[in-house]
Amino acid sequence: MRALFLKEWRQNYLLFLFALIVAGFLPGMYALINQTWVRNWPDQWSLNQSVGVAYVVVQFIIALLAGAGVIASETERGTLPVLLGLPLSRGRIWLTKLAAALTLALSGFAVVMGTGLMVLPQTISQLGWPTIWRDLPVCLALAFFLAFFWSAVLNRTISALLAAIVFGLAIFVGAAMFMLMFGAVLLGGDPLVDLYLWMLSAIPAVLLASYVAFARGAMAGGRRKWWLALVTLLAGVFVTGSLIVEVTRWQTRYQRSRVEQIAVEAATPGGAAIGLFTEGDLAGPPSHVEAGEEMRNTDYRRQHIAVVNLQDGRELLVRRGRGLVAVSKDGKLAALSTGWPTLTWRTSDMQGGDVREVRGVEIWDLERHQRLYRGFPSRFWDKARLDPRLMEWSPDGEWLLMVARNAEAYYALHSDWYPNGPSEVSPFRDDEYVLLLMRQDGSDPTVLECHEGPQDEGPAYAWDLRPGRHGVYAFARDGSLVRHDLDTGKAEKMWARLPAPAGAAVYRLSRVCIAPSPDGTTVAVAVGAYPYPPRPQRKGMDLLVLALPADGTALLKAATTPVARWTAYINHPLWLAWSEDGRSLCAAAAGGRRFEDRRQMLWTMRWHQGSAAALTTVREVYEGQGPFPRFPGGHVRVDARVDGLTAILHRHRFLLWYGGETWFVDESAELQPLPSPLLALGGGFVAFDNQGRAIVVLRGEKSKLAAVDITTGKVTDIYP
Amino acid sequence: MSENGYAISTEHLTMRFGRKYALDGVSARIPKGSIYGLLGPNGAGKTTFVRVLLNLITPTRGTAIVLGYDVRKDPVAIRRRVGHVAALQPLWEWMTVREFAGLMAGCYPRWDDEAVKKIVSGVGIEMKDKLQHLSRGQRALVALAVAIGHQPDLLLLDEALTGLDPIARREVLRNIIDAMHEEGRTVFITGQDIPDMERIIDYVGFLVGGHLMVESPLDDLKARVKRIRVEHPAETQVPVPSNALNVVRHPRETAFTVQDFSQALLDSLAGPNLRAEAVDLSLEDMFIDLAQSKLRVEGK
Repeated sequence: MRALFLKEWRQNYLLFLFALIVAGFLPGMYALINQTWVRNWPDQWSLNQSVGVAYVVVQFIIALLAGAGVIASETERGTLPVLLGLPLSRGRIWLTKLAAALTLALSGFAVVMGTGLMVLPQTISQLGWPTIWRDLPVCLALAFFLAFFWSAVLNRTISALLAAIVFGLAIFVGAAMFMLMFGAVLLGGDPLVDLYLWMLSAIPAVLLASYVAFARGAMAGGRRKWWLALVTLLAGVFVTGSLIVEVTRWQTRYQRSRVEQIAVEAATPGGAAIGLFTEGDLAGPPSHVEAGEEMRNTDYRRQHIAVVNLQDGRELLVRRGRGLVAVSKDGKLAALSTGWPTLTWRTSDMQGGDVREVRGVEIWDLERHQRLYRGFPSRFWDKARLDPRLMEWSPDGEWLLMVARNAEAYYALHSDWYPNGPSEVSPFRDDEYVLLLMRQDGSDPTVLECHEGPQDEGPAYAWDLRPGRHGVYAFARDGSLVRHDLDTGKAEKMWARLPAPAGAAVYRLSRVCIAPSPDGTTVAVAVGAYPYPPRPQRKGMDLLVLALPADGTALLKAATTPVARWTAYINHPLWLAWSEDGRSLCAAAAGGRRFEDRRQMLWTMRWHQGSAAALTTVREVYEGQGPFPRFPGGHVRVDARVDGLTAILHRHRFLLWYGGETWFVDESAELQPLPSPLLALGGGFVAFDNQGRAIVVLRGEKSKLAAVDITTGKVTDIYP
Repeated sequence: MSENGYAISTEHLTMRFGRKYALDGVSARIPKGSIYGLLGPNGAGKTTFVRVLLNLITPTRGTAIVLGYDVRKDPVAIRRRVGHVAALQPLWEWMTVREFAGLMAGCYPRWDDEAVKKIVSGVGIEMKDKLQHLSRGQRALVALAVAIGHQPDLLLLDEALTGLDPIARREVLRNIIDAMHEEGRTVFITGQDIPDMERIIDYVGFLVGGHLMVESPLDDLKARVKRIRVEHPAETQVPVPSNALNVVRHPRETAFTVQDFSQALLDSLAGPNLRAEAVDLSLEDMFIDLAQSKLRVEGK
C-alpha cells in the first residue's frame, strides 16, 4: 500500500506544485489589485473580497482536481487493469487512493490557507471563523468526495470534474430545497438545521457509492457501474439523511436537556405558553428581539423558543434561536417572526449564490401542526430583513398585526452603502413604525399608515376588543387618533388634536400608548406632555381616558394631570392594561418623581364611569430602583433583563416579582408572599393562564415551567 | 499440485455483458505444471477468461478455482501467486523501469529483483529508462519481467507475445517460459501466434464464441485430429463421416478433417480404386478447421 500511496503522490505532485505557485502568486495579486482595481472602484469590490474569493476558488480547484483524477486517470490511461491485478483487495486500493488524494488535497489546502491567513487576516475576520473552519471545509470536503465518487464512475478526468461541479451544486441546491420543503415536517417545525450538517451527511453516502463503484463495478461494464453507484448513492443519502434528522432531533433534545434558564413570554387564554429556553444567560423573553444581526446571532444555537401546551407540557411548536412568537387567544394559531434558509443570488454586489437565513413571518395551526403561511408581509420585509417589534393577533384570531421599525427607510437614507441606491428610498421616515396586517393565511396584507412610534417598542396601537369587530387603534402621522376598520378598509379619525394640559404643556406623540377598554367605550392614551415654553428637563407623561361615543368622535373624559400622585416623569414607554371588567386600569412605567429618577413604577387606577367620570389612583403598587424595563404586550408587565420586576394583572389581582422575592397583591392589599413556601422562582417572567394560574418558572437544579394556583399555592409542573 | 491437481479449473463459467455472452459455460481444466495454450479467434472470450481468473471482473455464473482458491472468495491470494501480462497493456509511462518494478515489489510479499534486472538488461534496457521512451516490444518485455518478479506459481500471458519481434519472442519462450515450466510452474498463454505456441505448449484449448470447443493435451489432440485424403477415380462419391470437417472435394480427391481419427476409420475408407491416407495437421490447421466449423454452425 505504501508503494501505491507513493505512486499516487508521485503521479499527482503537479497539483501540489500548483498550490505552491498559487500560494506564492496570490500575495502578488493582492498587491496588484490594491494598486488598480480597489483604488479605482473602492466601493464596488473590496480587495478582501476579491482576493478572498480567489483563495476560496483555488481551494475548490485543488479539491476537485485531487478527487477527480485519482481513479478516472487510471481508466483514461488504461492502467486500471494493472492496478486491479495487484495482490491488494479493491477496498485497499480504493482506500490507498483516497488517502493519497486526500493528503494531497489537504497539503494543497494547507499551503493556500496558510498563505491566506498570513496575507489576508482581514478576510478571515470578515468571513468569520465558523465559515473558515466549518462551512468552507465542509464544502471543500463535499467537492473533493464528489469528484472522487465521479472519478470511480466515469472514465475521464474532465467528465468527473464537470460531474462533480454539477452534482455539487445540485446537492447544495437540493439540500436547501429539501430543507425548505420537508425540514419543518421532518424536524417538527424546526427547519433551521445547519446546512453544513446536511452537506456533511451527504459525504458518507458519496464515499460509499464511490467504494461500490470502484470495488463492485469497475471494469464490469459502464451500465452496471452507474447503476450500482447511483443506487448506492441514493440509498446512502436516504440513510444518512435519516440519520442526520435523528441526530438533529437528538441534538435538539440534548439542548433542551441542558436548559438552564426559562422565560415565559405569555400564557394565552387558550392554554399555550410561549417560552424561551436557553443554555446560558437569559437575556430576555422571546419578544425581546433586537433588529440587529448581532443580537440574533448571539447564542443562537443555544436557545430555542417553544410554544407549550399548559395542560400536558406538550410542545406545540419549537424553534431554535430567537424570534417573536404570538399565539392567538384561543391558542390555535401561532405567528412567528423567524428565519429559514433560502438560496439567494445577488448580482448587485457580487454576493453570489449562497444559502442564507432570511427572516420573515410564519403562521402555524398549532392543533394540526400545519404551516399556514410563510413569507414577507410587505415588499420591504425581505430586503430590509425586518423583525417585528410586536406581533399580536386580533381577539378572534382572524388578523395578525405586526409592528416594525421602518428599517428599510434607514437603509434608504444611507444609500451610499446600500447597494441599490436611491431607488430603494422608502416613503417612510427613519423614526417611524409601520403597522402591517394580514389574515391568518397570509392573504390581504395591508400596510397601515405609519405613525410616530415610541422610542422603544411599546403598544402604540391596540386592537378593538369588541366582539365581531376588526379594528386597530393607532396614531397617525398628524397626531390624530385613528381607528382603522379592517372590514371596511376605512380609517376613522377619533381624536384630531390632543389637548394641551393645564400649565402650558404641549403633547408630543412620542412614547404613546393606547389601551381601549374591553367594552370599547373608552380608550386610555398615554402621551408625552411638554411644558411651554419648552424646558427639556421638564418633560413628563400624561394619561388620558377618552370616551368613544358611537359617532366616532372621542371625548376627553379624564386626565391624570390634575391627580396629585400622577406626576411622573417617564423616560420610557408607559404601558397600560384594563382589567377584564373595565373597572381598573393599570399603568406601568419606568421613571420617577423627578426627571433624573430611574425608577420602575406601577400604578393601579380605578376608572369611574358616568357623569362624574374620573381616573383615581388607587394605589401605587410599586416604586423602586430597577434596570431598564421592557414591556411586551398583552398584559401589563414590567420586567427587566436582570433582577426583573414583573407585574401581571389578572382581574384585580397582581402577581409581583422582583429580585427573587415574590408578592401576591390585590389592588388594596399590602404586599404578601405567595402562599407556597416552596416557590423559588427562576425567571423574571410570569403570566396568567385562563384558569387563573400563574405560569412561572421554578428554579431548581434545572429551570422548569410550572403553574401555580395563587390562591391555594398548588404547584403543577408543566415543562420540560 | 493444488488440491484437485489443477492450477485452474472452471465449471460452467459464464460471463455476460448485457445480452452478449463472452463466456458461455466454460468448463476448463489446466493441470499444474503445464503450459496451456488457449486459442481462439478475435472476440472469442480469451481476455475475458483471463480477467475472470484474476477476478478483475466477476463472472455471471459458474465457478473458477485458481491454485486452489475460489476467484470470488480469495482474489487477493490468487493475485499474490499469479503473474499476469496482457497484450499491449498500457503502463504508467512517466515511470522509470525501476519505479515500475519498485511499485510492484512493494505490493508482493516476495520479490526477486535480480531476476527482473537480468531479464530487462538482457534485452538492452536499463532500469533508469523511462517507460515512455521504450518501444512497444520493450515495454512488453518489461511487463513480463515484472510479472515474474514475485516468482508466481501461475503465469497468465494474455496475448503477451504480441508486439515482440521474432527474436525476442523466441527468447521469451525459451528463457522465461521454459524456465518456469522446468520449475514446475504453470503457464497459461492465450494468443494467435499459434506456430510459436505450438512449440512450447503441452495442453491446448480452443475457445470459440465463448464456448470451449476443445481441451486436450496437445499430443492427444494431434493424434485424434487428422486430415484424411482419399484419392479416387473421377466421378466417384467418397463416403464422408458425418462429423467430418472442412470437406474439400476435387474431381479425383476428397479431403476432410476428422476429430476422432482411428486406423479403423482409415481402413474403412480404403477400397478398390480408393486410396486413403491420414495427414498430420499443424495446430494452426486444426484450430482453423475446428473454429470454422463451429462458426459455421453458429451462422457466423
